[in-house]
Amino acid sequence: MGMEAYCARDDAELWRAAGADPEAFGELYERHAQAVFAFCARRTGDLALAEDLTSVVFLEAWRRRRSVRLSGDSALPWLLGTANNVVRNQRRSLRRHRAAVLRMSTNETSVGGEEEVIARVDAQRALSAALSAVDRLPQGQRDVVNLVLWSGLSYEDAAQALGVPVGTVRSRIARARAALGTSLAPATVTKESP
Amino acid sequence: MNDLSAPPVPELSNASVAAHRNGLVREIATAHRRHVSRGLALRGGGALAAVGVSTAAVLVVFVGSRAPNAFAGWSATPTRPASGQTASALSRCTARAARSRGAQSDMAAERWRPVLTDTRGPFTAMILHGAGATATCLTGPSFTTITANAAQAGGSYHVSSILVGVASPAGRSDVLQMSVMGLSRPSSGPVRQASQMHLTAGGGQPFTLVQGQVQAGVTAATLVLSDGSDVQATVADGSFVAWWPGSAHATAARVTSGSATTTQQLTFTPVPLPKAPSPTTSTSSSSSR
Repeated sequence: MGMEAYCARDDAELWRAAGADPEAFGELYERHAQAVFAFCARRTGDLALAEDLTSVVFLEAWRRRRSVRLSGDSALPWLLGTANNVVRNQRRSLRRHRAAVLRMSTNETSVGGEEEVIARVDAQRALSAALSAVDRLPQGQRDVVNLVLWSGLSYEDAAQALGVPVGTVRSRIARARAALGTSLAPATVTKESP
Repeated sequence: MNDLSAPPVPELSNASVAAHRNGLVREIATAHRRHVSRGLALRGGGALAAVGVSTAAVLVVFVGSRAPNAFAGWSATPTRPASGQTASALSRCTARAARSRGAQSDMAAERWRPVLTDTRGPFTAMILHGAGATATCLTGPSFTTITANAAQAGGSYHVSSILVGVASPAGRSDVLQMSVMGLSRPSSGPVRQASQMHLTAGGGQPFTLVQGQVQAGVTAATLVLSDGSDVQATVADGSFVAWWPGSAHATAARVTSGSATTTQQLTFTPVPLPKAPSPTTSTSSSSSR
């Protein structure tokens, strides 16, 4: 069937093949779905919405495949940049791909049991609590925190994903660290000074 | 959170990723074919207009092409089967064979075992082997077709096909037509033998199926069609199978063995078949090679 052949190809090769070969794009999905999902979840704070947005990201990526040339071997920076735009314009994005997302969701055969539902509620709660700290940051700083610190992109890849200079990414990261450090300082001082 | 550590996000389950992947492949394969059809329609319309054919004729063609698509969700590359898809397909194929009648009534009694399974979205093609015959089954959401072929005998290739018919969910049994069966037996090259069948199913919509044998060590094969498109075959244990909607025929195969890929031209010699059969009747023809 050739599944092994896909594994040996890098993202750029799969991306080029995807126009005539949907399965190549399926391989890209398998490689990067978790990273895109995590990005969307941390951006929206909503796990269910993040799953739908992950589908939208890949549908949107396929729609734009002809106009995009990957600058490196990995498609992840471009996919996360697309994810960033999709989340920002999520209403319009979901509206555009609503029918396809619905079909993709209803094709899923897994049925969650009670334990799975409880685990999911707990995960949702933990995510919301963790995100509350960065909610105070401006959107630009939250974007670079998500891409660089949480998704593991380099400063250069994050700059490509966001379409901004590398220096902007560096300065936003620095400001985010400073802002959170400042906001958390009183609590730290209180603990250290009984 | 004072260290900007990543907020925890649960892992997507393997089942969820696989289901969404298959759904995504189906979506884009459908969109891809719509795009190709639109392009062909526009080119066809332009050509017809250029030679002065009436607009009415063009409309007839394209209204016809908008009939419910029995092959929606088909993919040019094999997809991973959904949970239970293979078992369900085998059940439908053997049940369909068991209901066959006609000259080769032993088809119903065969103990069929699948030797090669090809899945493309919601469709499953299976090569089945019995004690004295092989069968090819294609099943999808709205139909199941099966043909059975007797094994080779002596120096001649004897083709004996039972055209079982098409089963639709509503119980309607459409006529399955095998318009052409061709054989290709190249003297050299990684494809040792191939047969091609042009069939109609699902309310008269044509599809084409190619199956055959390849040399040991072949890991992948892609068929090049007469309309310029490619279809990747499923290859396993020296056999391959691929099918596609429409009547385009295979002209070549790009075959991968190890790290080498070679292109081999395919020429199919038509095997004469009797006139189009009705469901559950048998037809036979033979061709000496």
